[in-house]
Amino acid sequence: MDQPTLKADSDEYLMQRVQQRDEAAFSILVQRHTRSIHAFIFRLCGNRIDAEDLSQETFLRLWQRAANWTPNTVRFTTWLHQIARNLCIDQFRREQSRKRTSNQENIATEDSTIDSFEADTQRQATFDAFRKLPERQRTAVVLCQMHGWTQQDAAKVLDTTVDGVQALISRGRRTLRDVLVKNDE
Amino acid sequence: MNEQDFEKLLDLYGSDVARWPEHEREEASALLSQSRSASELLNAQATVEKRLADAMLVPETYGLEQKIMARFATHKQRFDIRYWMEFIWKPAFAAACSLAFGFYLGAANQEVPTDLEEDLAYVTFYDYESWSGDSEDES
Repeated sequence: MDQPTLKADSDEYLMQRVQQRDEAAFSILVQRHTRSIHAFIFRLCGNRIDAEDLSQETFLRLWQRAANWTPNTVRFTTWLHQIARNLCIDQFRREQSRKRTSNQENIATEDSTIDSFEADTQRQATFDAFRKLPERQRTAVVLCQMHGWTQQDAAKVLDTTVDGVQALISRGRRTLRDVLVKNDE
Repeated sequence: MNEQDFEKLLDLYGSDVARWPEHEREEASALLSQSRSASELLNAQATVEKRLADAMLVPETYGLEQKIMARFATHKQRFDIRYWMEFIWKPAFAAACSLAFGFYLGAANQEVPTDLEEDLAYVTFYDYESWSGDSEDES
């Protein structure tokens, strides 16, 4: 099947085609979701280079592990974000094991996007405060606040209940407010 | 609704009161019109959200789709072999297990003659031979 025909199809249908090793369907999924996956990963890891690498890896995993996705159990976008999140967690662990995270500023200065944050101390403070949140709280805040996901969908990515997501996002928001606003006063 | 309830809802749903559950919205609006600290909390949360949005501006991804497809083309063959192996290994493993179990059962149930059985067989054969020999002599 050619690309123009597939372009109108749903993610779920395209994913079924990918399971049958349809490269055209894969290509359309890449075109459709690269921006959102890249934004999600960038917001979680805060590093442009890592975000590009992990975005590429996410889509390669999609192709490799297509058989693991089952229609009608989890939405395609949720499943794709689960892959991306797992890759980010692996990346955090690698960073920690290399003891590079002890001086996060050093990583930030390697990155041209973060360079601009240095000129703006408020942005840097916000970025640092966000990075200090536990990973699950960060993911909940990114999905529900920045990407406009429902708490139900975020719960699936975080492999928890809606109550669990509510607890995570509440703690995350309150911590950020305490750190960023109350400390400024 | 008091200020503590308001703060809990603020933590849960964020500063855009229009996105709060309908039944909470009216009470929240009423509280906001009366309570200065509730308004300050709402403003604080709105400030945090704006600062986060500014700090987390996502850089442009020039040609990222092409990079993904190029990397995909390089590794596709290896990925496909692994992909199909995922389907093959389970039935292959099941078949190998069945075969091994069959061999085991066959080996376990094989009747090895004991010494007594061997002796009895020999005696029987011997008797038969000697009986056959006698009858030939008699004739």
